[in-house]
Amino acid sequence: MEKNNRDILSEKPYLKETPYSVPEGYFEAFKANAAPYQAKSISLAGRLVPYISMAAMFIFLLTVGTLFLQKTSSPEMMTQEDYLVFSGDMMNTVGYEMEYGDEIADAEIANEDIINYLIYSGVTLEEIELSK
Amino acid sequence: MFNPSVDLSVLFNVTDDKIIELYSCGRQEEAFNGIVDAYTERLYWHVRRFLCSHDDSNDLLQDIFIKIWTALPTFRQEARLYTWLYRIATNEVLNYLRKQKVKAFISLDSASGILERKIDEDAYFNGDELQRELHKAIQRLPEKQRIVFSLRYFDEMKYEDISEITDTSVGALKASYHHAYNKVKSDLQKLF
Repeated sequence: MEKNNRDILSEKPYLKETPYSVPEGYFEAFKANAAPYQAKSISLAGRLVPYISMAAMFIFLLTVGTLFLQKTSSPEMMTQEDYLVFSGDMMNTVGYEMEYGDEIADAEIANEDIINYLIYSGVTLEEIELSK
Repeated sequence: MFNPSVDLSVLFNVTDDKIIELYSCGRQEEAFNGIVDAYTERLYWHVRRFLCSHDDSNDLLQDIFIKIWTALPTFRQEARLYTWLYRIATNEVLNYLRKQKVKAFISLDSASGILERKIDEDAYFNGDELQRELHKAIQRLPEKQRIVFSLRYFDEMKYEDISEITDTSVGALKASYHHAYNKVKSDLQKLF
């Protein structure tokens, strides 16, 4: 019971001393270097360098990307093998054209053909003129 | 090494007056050098008691002096220089410890556990087992109690000065110190 009432903090005054240490010459070195006002002020050009670098990198990537796309998308001579692969890919489009071929053809009929058809089917020239 | 049993406020006022005089004359750099000369060791040991590791304390001390340099133009002589400096250092320590707490939470560890391990792993710890346990017990105290205990027990600072540093009433500080002292005492009693 007695030992539970012990006040070790006041019994042992050496506990107030720091148990930590520092590397030799630490405080001298710290004091010699602790001068924030000695930090060199960075010029305007110096501050702009990172932004200029970023802009240059962006332009470089844009140029390289454009050149790459131009090169890969330019038409080249097709080999027979390429043609077969290409025509295979295009089958759906061809199928579409076959299915809706009449409508596409209608869109390309000239006015003169329509007039000829109307004359042939018995519509008079006066009626055609009136409808214009 | 500085002796904590000396009344710090008396000791500092001589130097502080000189530093403030230099600053008032527009000799800011000399005033700052005076602060570095007079306070580097005191602030280092103040920081080290919280952070335990030398490397962490060194990094934070550099940040503290940068803060002091940038805040120097805002220093009004209503406060004493030494309590103003301790206040900056204490706030930086608290910010650091809060960041550590978040890191510890993310890594599913406890902040005090990390600090206790730092004491065990510290190559610059020269104390005996009782000192080791004392400093581990301090890391287990709540933030405010840790500050009061450190400033009162080790630096033997007056409650009035601690009150200026922590912006807490003297009564509340006395109560915090009493709780902290008893907790640490009871932790150390378990060793005997």
